[in-house]
Amino acid sequence: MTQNMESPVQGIEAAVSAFADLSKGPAFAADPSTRVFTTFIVALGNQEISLRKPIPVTIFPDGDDFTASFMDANISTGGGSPQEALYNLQHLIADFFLMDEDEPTMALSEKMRHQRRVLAECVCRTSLKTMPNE
Amino acid sequence: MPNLTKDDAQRIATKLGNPPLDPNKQCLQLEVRQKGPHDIVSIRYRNVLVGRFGIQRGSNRNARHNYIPEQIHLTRQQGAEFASCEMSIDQYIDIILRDEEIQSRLPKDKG
Repeated sequence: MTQNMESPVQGIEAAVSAFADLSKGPAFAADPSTRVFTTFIVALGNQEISLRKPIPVTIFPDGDDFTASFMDANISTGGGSPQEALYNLQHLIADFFLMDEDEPTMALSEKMRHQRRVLAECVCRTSLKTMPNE
Repeated sequence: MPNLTKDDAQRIATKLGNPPLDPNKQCLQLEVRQKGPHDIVSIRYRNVLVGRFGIQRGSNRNARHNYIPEQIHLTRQQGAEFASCEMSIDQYIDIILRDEEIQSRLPKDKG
């Protein structure tokens, strides 16, 4: 009966082993041209907004290019290298968030509302919005 | 599976702005903003934002843009058909109108 039960020590050993695999190096260390991998955006490089939490990003090769996707929000873009795709995605997330601010909720389809909700969970404004006539 | 390049993406954006042949259908409202490394295209139908995507602004005209169809309610195959002449703007509007969640957001017709 106890054969199928994992002891707490085995559980800890498995977790340590998994962590050791992760600590071998970031996914970029492997050949990025042949595999799908995930990483996190931890900053957007935009002074107006900041992140509430890291954004998970999937990067995969597509021919000679790479696509970076924030799948939860259905936001994707590409680039000639994983770094460029990630850089482009940082910009796109920031731009989508800032453009969404001007949209009344009633003027959004359900998918666009969902995108706004997901972005609002991850991104927040750090500076007051400047109105054109101020 | 067809591949969509930057040229295809620009063709899609241009075609989205074309008026439908069916007089009962309204034009899609297209807004293109140049923002950082992208031209961001927002698509509205009867004032409801139904999709938004970014076209990379680099010089590589063959840069892959296979992610765009998903952001405008199309499959990749349909995206390629729309970029070519196989799917018309009327057919695209039909696809949008068949989407119940979009339909439920559209303002009700008077009368």
